[in-house]
Amino acid sequence: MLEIKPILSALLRHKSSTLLIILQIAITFAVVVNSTSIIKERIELMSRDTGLVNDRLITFNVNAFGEDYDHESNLRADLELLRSLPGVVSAAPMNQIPLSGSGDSSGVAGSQEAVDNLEMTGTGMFHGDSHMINTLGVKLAAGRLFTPEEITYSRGRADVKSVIITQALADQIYPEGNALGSTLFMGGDLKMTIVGIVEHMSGSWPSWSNFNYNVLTPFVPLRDFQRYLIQAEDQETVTRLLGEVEKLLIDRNRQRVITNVRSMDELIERIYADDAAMTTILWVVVILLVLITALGIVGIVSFNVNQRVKQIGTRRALGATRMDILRYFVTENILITSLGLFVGITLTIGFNVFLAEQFEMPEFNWNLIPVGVLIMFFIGIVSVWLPARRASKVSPAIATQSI
Amino acid sequence: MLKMNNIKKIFRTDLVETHALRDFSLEVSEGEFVAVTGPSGSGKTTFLNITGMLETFNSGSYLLDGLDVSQLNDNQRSKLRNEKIGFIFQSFNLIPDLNLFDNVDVPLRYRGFSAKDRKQRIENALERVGLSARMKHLPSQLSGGQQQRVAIARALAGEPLFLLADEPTGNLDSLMARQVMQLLEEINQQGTTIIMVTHDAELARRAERNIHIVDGQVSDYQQLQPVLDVAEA
Amino acid sequence: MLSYYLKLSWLSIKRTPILTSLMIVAIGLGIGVSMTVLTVNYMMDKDPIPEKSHQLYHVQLFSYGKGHSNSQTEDAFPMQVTYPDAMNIHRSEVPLRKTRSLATGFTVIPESADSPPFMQSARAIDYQFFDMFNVPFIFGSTWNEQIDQSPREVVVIDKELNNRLFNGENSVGKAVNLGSVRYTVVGVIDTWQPAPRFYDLNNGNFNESESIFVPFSLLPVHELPSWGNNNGWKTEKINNYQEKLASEQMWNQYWVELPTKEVKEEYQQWLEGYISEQQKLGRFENEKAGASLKNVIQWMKVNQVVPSDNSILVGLSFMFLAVCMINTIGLLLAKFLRRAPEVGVRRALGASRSEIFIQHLVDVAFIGILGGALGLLLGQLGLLGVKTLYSSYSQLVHMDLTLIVLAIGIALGSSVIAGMYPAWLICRTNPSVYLKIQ
Repeated sequence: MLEIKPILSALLRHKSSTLLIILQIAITFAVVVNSTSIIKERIELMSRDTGLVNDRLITFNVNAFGEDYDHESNLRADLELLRSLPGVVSAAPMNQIPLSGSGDSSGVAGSQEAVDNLEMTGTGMFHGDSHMINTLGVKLAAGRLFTPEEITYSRGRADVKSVIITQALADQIYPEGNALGSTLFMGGDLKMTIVGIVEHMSGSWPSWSNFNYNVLTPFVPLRDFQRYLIQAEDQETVTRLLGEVEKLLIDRNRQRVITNVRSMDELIERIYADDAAMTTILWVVVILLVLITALGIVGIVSFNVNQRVKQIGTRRALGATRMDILRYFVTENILITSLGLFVGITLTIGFNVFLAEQFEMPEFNWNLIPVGVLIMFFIGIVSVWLPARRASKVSPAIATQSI
Repeated sequence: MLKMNNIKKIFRTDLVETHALRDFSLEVSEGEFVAVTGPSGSGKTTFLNITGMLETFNSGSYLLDGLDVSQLNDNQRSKLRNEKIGFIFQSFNLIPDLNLFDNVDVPLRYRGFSAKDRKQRIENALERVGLSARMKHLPSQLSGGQQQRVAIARALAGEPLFLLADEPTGNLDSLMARQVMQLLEEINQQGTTIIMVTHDAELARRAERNIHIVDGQVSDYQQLQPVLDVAEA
Repeated sequence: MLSYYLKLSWLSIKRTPILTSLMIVAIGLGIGVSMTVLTVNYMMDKDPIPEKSHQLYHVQLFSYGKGHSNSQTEDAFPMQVTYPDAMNIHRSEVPLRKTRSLATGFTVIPESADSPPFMQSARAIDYQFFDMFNVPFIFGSTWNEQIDQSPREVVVIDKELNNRLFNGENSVGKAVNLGSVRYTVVGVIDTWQPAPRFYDLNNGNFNESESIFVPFSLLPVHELPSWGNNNGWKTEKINNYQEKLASEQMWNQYWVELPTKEVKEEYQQWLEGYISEQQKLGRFENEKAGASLKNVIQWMKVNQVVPSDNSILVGLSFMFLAVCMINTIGLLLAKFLRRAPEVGVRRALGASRSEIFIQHLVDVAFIGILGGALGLLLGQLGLLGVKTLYSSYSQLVHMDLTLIVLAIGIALGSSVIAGMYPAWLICRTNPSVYLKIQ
């Protein structure tokens, strides 16, 4: 590393091109690290545990029409049909499906006092029958499931007495851990007993902070619009049902339209489509940027080599080995990259503070900085390699030529 | 036509101060063929650059066609150079991408002549150096002597006050050198002033007046003295 | 002289094809990426109804009870209004035009038994809706004003549905079976797809427009379901549609057209008068009770039509462009310095510094335009990619003339800026250095 001093002075003489590479490396680093941070956050978001048996669920909507349509008998007949299908583990009517992006929400509290003070917690309200929790594949943590006798089928409101809530909600409104058997207050004089607690279950809106706060009730609203959820044995059944469920239901009763026949995997893909798209775009930006920077380094180093052919030849004539020449350019590049990274890290931190202020970004992954540093050094060395090798091949004879 | 008085040019770096020209004076009148000689490092190049207004000087005065050069800004000097001086270089300095026509065209473009006028002048100039048949050729397709003739055509096309030639035969073999020299003499006989910088005494002898520079000063106004040739060996 | 510089530029491009291509690629990528992002942003943010965006106002009423508010909006106003409020403020004669609005839907039952029934989203509105939002008709027109008071089953359908049900013929006077109720077609509108769908930003900013429009006055008659959001703040026992209509739930929207500032002022006062009237009846108990009128542009802002992801991408894409330009400066330095001997000759032959400077800027601008053209192509490619990534934006994602001009402008502008320093450097070089033996 004895060469650092002469390299430094050479760099100082080529101030502008050195400065340009430093700046380029700095901005590239800042963009790459911040983009990677966003990518990482989005991937984590998308791969969150849903608490459901994602790959075995199918959902669809039944839209009934006509004045004479009997909702309750049709619902029971539909469920009987669905449950009798080969490969179907379980089926349930539901008012909303997790991760579907639409549904009902309501405020709840653990005490009347909280209700009076308007300190209610927003939750997703899932209505369904006694098969609902098993169909979702959600695990019971404490208490019991709904019994068939408990279920209210009604065109209007239901006088629900018992509810099951998610562990996350239980921890929120009963922090002492005494949720089971306690009362859930829903405002007005609405009160219910918590008869069960389920482990983890996703709500309908992933971007909502109360995504994991969900309430399940033993109530089947009878409406023209009815959602169903089916749990299949395996993936093959899912594929088969997606294709035939519409015909089966229409054949049973033609007075309705079946819409949105989707697997849970598709729902998840849809709800995270924007995040997935953002991830893809950021990847493209990062890759292109790295490519551009690498090309830039190749371009500028090539130019420097061309400019210094005579000097390189003279060095060779004075006894420098090829390795010495190669090492000269690689060391020069490492030096420049280091300077660039120093500026880049400063820029990254600044950029991140700005982003965090503007867009409520989650906390930055500081461990990405060393990863980014390694990547930039790698890019630097790879892109300097070609022109440096060319430089190392300069013949010492050049020193004696006049042109 | 050209009058230099006590020109002083000093190059400074952190460590040394070089007096390239010291109290340099020279007068050239119209129609003359002046050869400027001198050993390496004598100040010939500096003289050439100052005469060509490529460089400025520290003190003294330089009147070109009655204009005080030191009072002019870069733009005005460029314009003056374009109008009054025709440069001829040792290494020809033709622009490799341009064909002969376009090479001769370069100074005329900056002059702002009309397209028709330029075409006329380019054809005439190339005619004068005997290369009008090769107008569309690139410099690389020509011999050194031919290239230098193109350079002379380029210098002549704008009808300058004088030609400023820097070792015009330095890169040529003796036959071609003789031809180029003959061409320059012809041009001089037709009335164009020529100032030629050279270290070749043989060549200098063919000029009607010789200026010898030593250590940044004119050493002798007299006609050439053979003894000075020794310095160049 | 410009044509001369362009010729020289072309020659120099031919002489340094690799360096030049590198620059064109760098500028092209920079422009391509930033144009892709900018196009999406620009299209999202574009005024969907420029001729009227400052006369159409969305009405918000702060009808929350004490202690309640909307945490989603900056001013805490609810996004929608209650049915009673929609009915009551509809009495005002101040607005030039006005409409209540609800996202709903129907099962469309075709006449022929071979075609199965299908679901279709619909909108319940008042007769002036079409005039307000400049909706073009192909056949017929909106319904009679009286129908908004005394409801009748009439419907306006769009071209697409008309093609599906009536093979594109003039269907005015014909009947459509919507959920087993017969509606008479009074008008057929042409394709109408404002983007963003500003007249209802609660239900997907870039969703398709509805195909069916029915009178809002039919709500109580056929109990039209709400296909949009229903927000309640109060615990109310709602057992049937009548109770929903009477409730404090906010599930309707209200738009007015107020042609001048004075009319807007007058309407604002009218609404405030209405609120104090309601307060006497025990409603609007919140200390913030009031009315807010937001024009189309303001309404788009409140609804964050441009997602924050896009702003991040705009920032990133400009940093990307900056890197591409820094890259270009480096390559230009190399290219120009290689040309220094020629510049020396030109200077000796009488070119002034400014002529050399301009010659090189023209050179850069030429490369910039080529880069811009490549950038436009890459931008189209990028937009194709965006289209596949975001299916809902597909209608947004195209470059109009403004954007094409902008792309070339950015390419030209940024490359000329990038070229300033190298061109300045080269025009300052001492010509005499390059004239001696090389």
